[in-house]
Amino acid sequence: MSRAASGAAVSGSGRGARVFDAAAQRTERGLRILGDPRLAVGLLVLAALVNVIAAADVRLRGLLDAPAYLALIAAILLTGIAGVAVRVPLVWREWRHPEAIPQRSDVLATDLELAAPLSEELKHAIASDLRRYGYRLIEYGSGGRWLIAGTKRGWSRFAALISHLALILMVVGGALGTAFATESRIGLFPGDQSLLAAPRPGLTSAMRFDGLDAAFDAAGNPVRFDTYVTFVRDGQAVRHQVLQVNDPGSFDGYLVHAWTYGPAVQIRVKDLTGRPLFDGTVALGGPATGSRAPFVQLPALGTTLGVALADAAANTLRITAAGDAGIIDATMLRPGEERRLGDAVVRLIGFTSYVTFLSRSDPGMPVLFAGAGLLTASFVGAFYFPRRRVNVLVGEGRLRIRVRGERFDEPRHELDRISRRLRALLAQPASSDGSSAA
Amino acid sequence: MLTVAPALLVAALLALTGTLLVGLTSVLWSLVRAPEVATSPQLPAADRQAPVSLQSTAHAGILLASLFLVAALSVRTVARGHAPWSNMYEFNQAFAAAILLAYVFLERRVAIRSLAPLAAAVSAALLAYTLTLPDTLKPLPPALQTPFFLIVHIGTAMLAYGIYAVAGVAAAAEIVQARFGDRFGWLPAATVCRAAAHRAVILGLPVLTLAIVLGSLWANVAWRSYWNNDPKELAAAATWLIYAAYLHVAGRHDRWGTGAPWLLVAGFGAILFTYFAANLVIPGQHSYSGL
Ligand code: HEM
Repeated sequence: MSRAASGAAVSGSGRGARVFDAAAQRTERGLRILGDPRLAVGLLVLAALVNVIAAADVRLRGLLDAPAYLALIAAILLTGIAGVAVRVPLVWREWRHPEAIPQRSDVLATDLELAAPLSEELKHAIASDLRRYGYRLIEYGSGGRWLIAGTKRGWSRFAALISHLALILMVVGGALGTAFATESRIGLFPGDQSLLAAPRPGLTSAMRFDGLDAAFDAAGNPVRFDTYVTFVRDGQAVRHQVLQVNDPGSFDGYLVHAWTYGPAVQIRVKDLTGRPLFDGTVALGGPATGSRAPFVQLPALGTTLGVALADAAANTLRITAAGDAGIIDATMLRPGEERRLGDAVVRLIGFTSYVTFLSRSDPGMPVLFAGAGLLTASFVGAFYFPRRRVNVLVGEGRLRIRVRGERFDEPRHELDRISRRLRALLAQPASSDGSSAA
Repeated sequence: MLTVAPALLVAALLALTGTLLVGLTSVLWSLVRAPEVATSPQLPAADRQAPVSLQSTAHAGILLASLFLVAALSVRTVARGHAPWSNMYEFNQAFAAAILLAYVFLERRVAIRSLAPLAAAVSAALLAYTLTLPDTLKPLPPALQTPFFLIVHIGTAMLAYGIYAVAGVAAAAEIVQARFGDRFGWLPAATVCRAAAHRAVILGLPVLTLAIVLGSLWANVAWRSYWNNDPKELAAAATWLIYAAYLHVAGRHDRWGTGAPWLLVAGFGAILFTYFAANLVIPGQHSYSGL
């Protein structure tokens, strides 16, 4: 009974292992197909084409938001992961367990003649020297035939693979941004304050616009655009800052840009008895003013005042009063002047300016830029610090050094340096056991 | 001080013209010297090369032109008080200089002296075009007044373009030499071109990547978004994707490997598109740098 049961268990586990092996093989085959570099070329060139087309014609820019393009990006990421997955074991092995380098056209070699068999001491010295020079080594063989195989900067190949993972971080960062980023447009007059995003429970991060200092050259090109703001949390001023075009403010996870600006006027309106109806600032802009339109509503009189700049050079304002029946009256005003318009008396206190701020928060951005940094660093690692592989073979009265670089990389300097180092070691006086080399 | 700058440009152009003339002499040499010797496939490629003295003279022309161009850019930097890349007139000089410097750097690693006339031709074309442009001295618009980004974003972009111009030239030479069995003694052998082009790609890719990443960081602060689908951004992304594609076939010994240099030629085409079309023809946020 117990024998039968154990036999069944053995055959069961054997079948399980076979099924597992077959699945593993199939998976590996699948990954190899998906991760084939030729597929990468096709996908990447296709993506490049879409970008060129979108760059050339603004009407085709929508292609970049098409599901097919998003699927292409996803395919690049997924096949890239497959490409990495199938290569990691080999790259790891080549790094941690360096082996013999087959003689090929891209392998550089040189021979040093040996006058006598190498002593153990000298072999040890060679290995230590190569280790000091940055190689990770494994020794093979013994006696007359001896080989040490080494890899320097084995991590460099990993850097090449990590570049694929960096792309994933970038895309994830971009996707997080698309899903969760917020952007608020805040139009403020000097002295005004606003929350940095739409009101929600717990949000107390705010800003106050303190003033604007802009300067223009003779041709009217802006040369300076300094916006003074104060960041406020829980009603307390936390920090004063000058925002400039390339220098937005950063506060509580929000990036605040001074985006547009324009002229505004401060006006005061009373009724004929002297009762105040309006005392505030009106932006003289168009759509850039955000929610503030250049109108003043006076519900007590059933009148709306339209405000427009009549003559910028002479600082003259045109004010039009309109009611249900149409235009009631219109007048011109300069700073300090007061006029009657229908049942209202309007005073122009003076000119000022407004600034429209953009307050953004994008939780995906740190992820995206971490990916971009990793991508750049991985390229630097992979390309500027290439892996080197070395073999030192001893046999038949000579010591042969083989060095192999990466694609198209002829590490002649590396070979020269290693052979100089080893020649110097071999030239040292013979040790007490009598072995020596020339 | 700025008055010497155009003279330096002309001097650079003359030095490059010298390199071009030496290149033409090499071509003539190939034709005159018993063509069956010059083109014999039995001879090792090195023996079919144009004489070393011609190659060295062409190389010297490039060194001289590089010096003049670096001097011209330095003079402008000092005179204007910022990195000399704010309009086409200045970009062209930086691009032309980057091509020459990239060639000089790569030449120390791969024997590509006989490519000197081709590199000189691209650089000279840019300089000749520069001399037809107005040298406008407008102050920098506020969006460009960030010395770090101005220097590093545009500087790395120009450097990458210069490196990839050399890659493109080497790849074009490889295509020709591979097609005709290395028969042109005035060009390096196909294998040498291939190694030079690959070295250029791996030298340039981190630089191009950095240029795009820094541009994106700059756009994030200056244009309120790190990516705006601006024509130059899209064209730069396309360029980058082409070089990324190249990496996956470089060095293969099959049809895909044979096609790799075509990708580098296309890559250089994409750079020219990014450089000219996205600045001058297609309106976008980068257009304010215009002419
Ligand atoms: C923008 C996207 C990509 C970038 C930036 C990229 C980058 C790289 C880099 C830098 C290397 C190392 C090149 C070298 O050995 O010097 C590489 C190799 C490789 N990539 Fe990609 N890659 C991308 C997309 C892909 C995709 C989509 C796949 C899968 C189909 C893929 C599969 C591979 C494989 C298999 C290798 C090793 C190639 C070899 O050993 O010859 N890559 N990639």
